[in-house]
Order: sequence, then structure tokens, then C-alpha cells
Amino acid sequence: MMPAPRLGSRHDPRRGQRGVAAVEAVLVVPLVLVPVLLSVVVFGRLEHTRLVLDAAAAAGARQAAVVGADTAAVRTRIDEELRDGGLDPTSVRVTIEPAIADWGDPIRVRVEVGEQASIPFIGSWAVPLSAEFVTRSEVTH
Amino acid sequence: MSGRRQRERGQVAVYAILLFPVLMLVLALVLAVGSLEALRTRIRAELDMAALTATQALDVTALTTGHPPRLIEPEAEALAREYLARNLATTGDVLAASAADIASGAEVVITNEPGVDPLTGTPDTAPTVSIRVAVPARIPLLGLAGLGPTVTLTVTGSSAART
Repeated sequence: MMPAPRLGSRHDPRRGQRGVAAVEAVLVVPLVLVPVLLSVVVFGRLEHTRLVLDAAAAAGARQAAVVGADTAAVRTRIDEELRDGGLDPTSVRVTIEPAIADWGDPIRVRVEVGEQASIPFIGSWAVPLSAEFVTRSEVTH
Repeated sequence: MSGRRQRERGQVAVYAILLFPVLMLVLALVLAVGSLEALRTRIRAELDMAALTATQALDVTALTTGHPPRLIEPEAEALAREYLARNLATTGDVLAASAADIASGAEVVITNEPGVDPLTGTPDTAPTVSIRVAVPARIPLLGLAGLGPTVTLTVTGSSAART
């Protein structure tokens, strides 16, 4: 019976395989796992932004129905909601139309923001997000 | 070379090849369910806005003559459907039917008398507009996960008129 070759010696058949797992780990962790985990974070952040936009548009639409016009009160209300949700109101485009809605007329409030989704090793995309609600003016001008 | 050592060679590659599609499938399923829940939240908000708008159909003449607040039933129902359609139309291309068709197929119940609400199952103490709507949605990632690309979301909500 031949004596087993010494670990790591030139006769050790494992020698050629040693470190393969480490090399695989070095390739797989940054190229697969990190992008997968970071994309979870990126999608979560986008979803949060979308929910904040929804809340801001809904609050703005209610305010717009009560005043029946595109007024500072409506825009302040939307900005408050955006700030509460951690968004910068200056980066969000708000459209309220028509500027004056008479009693019973529909009034539309739309908020839009251009988000950037960047995942290392995969790429970076511009993601436009928006939310819109339509309600009915409650005032006679 | 020992037999055991030989059998283990290439196992990492087999794992990688077999597990990668499974991992991607799980990710697709997570994204699909996530977007479905996001859509449900969005539709719920649209339904709330429609119900709230429909409570504008208050019987003002009855109110000014000292009667308790009442909703004008046909007007409230028409408003609920109109504003459900208008708000559903803002959802985007995930809806598998037109906003007008979905809204005309919705169940709308106007209750003026106190009692248990037939749609929400909760007690109504004020005139209430309740809506239940079934929305067919197209989620392509769900097809990838083997669940069919179109699913129907049923959402219920209500709004009460208080003076």
C-alpha cells in the first residue's frame, strides 16, 4: 500500500483543486449576490417613492376638491406629504388641471418624479414614477 | 486519485447551473407578488377616492329643511362609477380591461339607513357609499412563475357622509 501523499505536496491530487472554491466565491459574491441583494434594496426604495407619491397625490386631490382650483394651499399640502415621505418637493413635478374647476367639474392632480435605479455591475436606469387622482370640485366660483 | 475525491469534482458547477434558474424564478415570483400587492394598494386608493367623491351627492334640499343627511341614491351611484372609471384610467397598462368596463361591473351600494353594510360587513352609522370592484390585472412576471399572466384583484371600500 502506498503511503498517502502529504497534504499540499506535489503528489497530492487535491493540489490542482485547491483554491477553486475561493476563486468561485470571489467571482460569485460580487457578480451575483451583491447585485441581487442591492436590487432588492433599489426596488424597495422605488416602491417607497411610489407610495409617497400616491399619498401626496391623494392628499392634494382632496385639497383641490375642497378649494376647486390650483392654489398655493393644494401645492403646500402636496409638498408636506412629499417631505413627510422623505422626498424633496423641488424634484417633484406637480400638475393640477384645470386651474379653476367649478362645482361638479373633475379636477386632476398628478405628481411625477424621475428616479434613478442603479445596481452595481448590472447597470443604471432612469425610472419615471408618477401618481394621479381625479376628484370633483366642491365649490362654486 | 481516490473515487470519493473524483465524485465531488464539478459539484459546485452543478449547484450553480441548477440553482441559478431556481434563484431567478424565486426572484421573479417575489417581484410579481410585490407588484401585485402594490397594484392592490393603488386600486384601493382609487376606490377610496371614488367613494369619497360619490358622497358629494347629498340631498341638499332635505338637509336645509332640517332633515338628517341623505344621499341621493342614483346620483351617488353614478358619481361612484364615473370617478372609479376616471381614477382607474390613471393606473396604466396593467389593467386587462378598460377602466369604463371595470367600473360599470363594480358593485355599488348606497345605504341611507343605519345597519350592517352589505359590502364591507361593518356597521354604517351615516349615509355610506360602498364599492366592491374586481380588477383583472396583467402581471407578465406571474406567467414566468407559472401562475398565469392575468389575475383578478377584488377590492372593497366605503366612504361615509358626515355633516
